[in-house]
Amino acid sequence: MKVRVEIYSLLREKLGWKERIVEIPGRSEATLREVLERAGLVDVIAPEGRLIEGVILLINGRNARLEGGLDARVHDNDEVSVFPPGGGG
Amino acid sequence: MPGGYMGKFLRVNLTDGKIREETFPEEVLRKWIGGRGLGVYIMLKEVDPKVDPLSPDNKIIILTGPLTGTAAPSSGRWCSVTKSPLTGTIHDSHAGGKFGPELKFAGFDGIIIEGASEKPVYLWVHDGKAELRDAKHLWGKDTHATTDAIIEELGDKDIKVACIGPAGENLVKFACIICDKHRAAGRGGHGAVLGAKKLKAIAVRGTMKPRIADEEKFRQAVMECFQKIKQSGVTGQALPEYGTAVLVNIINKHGIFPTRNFQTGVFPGAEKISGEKMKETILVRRDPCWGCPIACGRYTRVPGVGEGGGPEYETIWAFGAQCGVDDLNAIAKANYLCNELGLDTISMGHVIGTAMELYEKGKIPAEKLRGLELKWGNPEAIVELTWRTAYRSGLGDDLAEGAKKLAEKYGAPEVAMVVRGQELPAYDPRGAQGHGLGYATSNRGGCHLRAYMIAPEVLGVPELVDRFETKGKGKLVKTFQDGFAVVDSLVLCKFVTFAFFVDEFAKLLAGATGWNVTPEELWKAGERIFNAERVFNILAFGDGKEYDTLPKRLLEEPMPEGPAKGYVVKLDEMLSEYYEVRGWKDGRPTREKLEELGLKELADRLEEAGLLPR
Repeated sequence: MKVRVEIYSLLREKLGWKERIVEIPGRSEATLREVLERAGLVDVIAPEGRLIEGVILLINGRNARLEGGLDARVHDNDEVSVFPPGGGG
Repeated sequence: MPGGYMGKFLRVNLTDGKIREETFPEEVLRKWIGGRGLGVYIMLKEVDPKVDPLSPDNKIIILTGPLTGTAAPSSGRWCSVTKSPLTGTIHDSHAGGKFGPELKFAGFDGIIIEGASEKPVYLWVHDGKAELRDAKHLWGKDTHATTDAIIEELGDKDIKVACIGPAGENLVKFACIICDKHRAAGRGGHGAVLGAKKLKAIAVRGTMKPRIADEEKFRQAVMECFQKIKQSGVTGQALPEYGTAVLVNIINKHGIFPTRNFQTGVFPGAEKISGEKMKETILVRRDPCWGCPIACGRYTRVPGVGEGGGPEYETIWAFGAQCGVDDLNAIAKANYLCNELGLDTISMGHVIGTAMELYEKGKIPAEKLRGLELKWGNPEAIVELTWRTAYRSGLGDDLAEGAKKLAEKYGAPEVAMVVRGQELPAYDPRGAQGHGLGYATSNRGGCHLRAYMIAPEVLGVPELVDRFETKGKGKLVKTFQDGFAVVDSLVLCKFVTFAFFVDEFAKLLAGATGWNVTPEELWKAGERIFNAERVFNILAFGDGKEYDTLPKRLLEEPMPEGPAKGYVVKLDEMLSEYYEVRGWKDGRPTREKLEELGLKELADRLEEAGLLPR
């Protein structure tokens, strides 16, 4: 499976990239954790295994926290967006 | 006199030119706090809710709160309360910068402005004194020139100025009040109210300070709040680094970035006008309000074009996705112009988008356009129409009346994306149900800040709720509305609520005033203020359930694409729960609810007018 992972704001500055394709050959689905591990993000947004408060994780624009968080299922051709905590008016 | 307050208000009558000093009894201050709350108290007491907003009989009240100008974080704000010429409702509009604290340092908690002057004047308030001065030489000047001229005339570069520009003088329905050149009490046309009264500016300067009743208690509370602001990812990192523009990509990826007048929620050009893009290109520095550790404000420069404060998320949306424009430089230019001319950026950009949809539908005759191509995405159009609107020139005269009147005039009223005549801001509620309820039940027309439901539904603050769900949203909206009424009455910046809320407000207020105020008392005050505003609107319009609604597009046309595809706002489902938790019937507070809130006189007034629900 191929998944596009996009990151934003402070994550871009920290990691030096905006998006990358994560490939997991031989699989049609995976957990969000597996995808983010391969993108080098898990340690950044979930140090010690717990998701930082306020980090926004989307799978095709839906909030993954409502679908199991890092255990949410990701499928081939999905788009994963990762935002550090954000806000405004 | 309790601590925090200066204990003095000015009453300025522009008809006879007399200026008086007044105080309010302590129980009034405790009941209504200040800012927005004290404003609705005064308006209900002194102004007929049916008054013509641009007539001399309307009043406009400039107000600070007990925390303004103290060490409390993000307390550098003030507000204006009046009956809005755009919505006809009670309306409060807030701004940051430095003007608010300086008004308190000049010795006053607020200024009640009544009547109208025959000739342009400005008000000069300094260290306990106030006088009206001739503004003939200022009339016609933009806000920057006005500010510079006043500072030069009065000879003190530390004078803070709040003023109107040509838009306010020309009674544009969404003309704003600009302070400190780059900050706006933006929405609702308060600038037009000042323009109708021929009050060009208010200049303030002072060396006094509000007294703190319990220094130690206050200091503890302040330190706790500063810590919380630092620890929050939103106030401690996102807002300082990117400003509110950090929301562009977030909201677009959720599929609720209103595009081309709410025709869809996904804008392909979002990245080009994002906070990330701004930081790489036009951002010069942060620009904090007085006393604020968050420092979300931006100062930007477009070489060869202009510079100034902003653009904020809402402004980027209004001149950007709303108009199909993905040119950040053009958006910044339109933003600087709005500040100079004295226009609300949200309404201005939004109304241009309305005009673009009317043009797309072939509703605007060619001769009205004078050669302007009103096509989606045209960056010249957003700048050109801003100028034309401020001066009511050609089509600008129609835009100046707001989206509702514009769409009605050109035969397509369904195109106006407004609630009670105020243009909706930068979130499509079809993908955030609770936010839609907030829009529909706002007392001041279409507004994202009465109940910023995006916080729980999208950002996960204080905790994440399902944005597509309707259950529980009535209760949540009430909570936000009441809590934010408190914020607006203390006059703090709403962004502190990403870090702390009413529990901490009670500690700050107790320390400053010396009152043994509890969170429960503040929650009740917030509920009281919200209900009082509703009563004003009922007396003005005969309000009932039928006013709590949304444009047809959001109720009946499913979102065509993106993560929110297929959804409409399921408003009726949420309204019944909302009215129940509010203790209202058919959209109106019952006598029982009003008396519970200490508002028996308002219940009596409604009954007299035959407007109490049965």
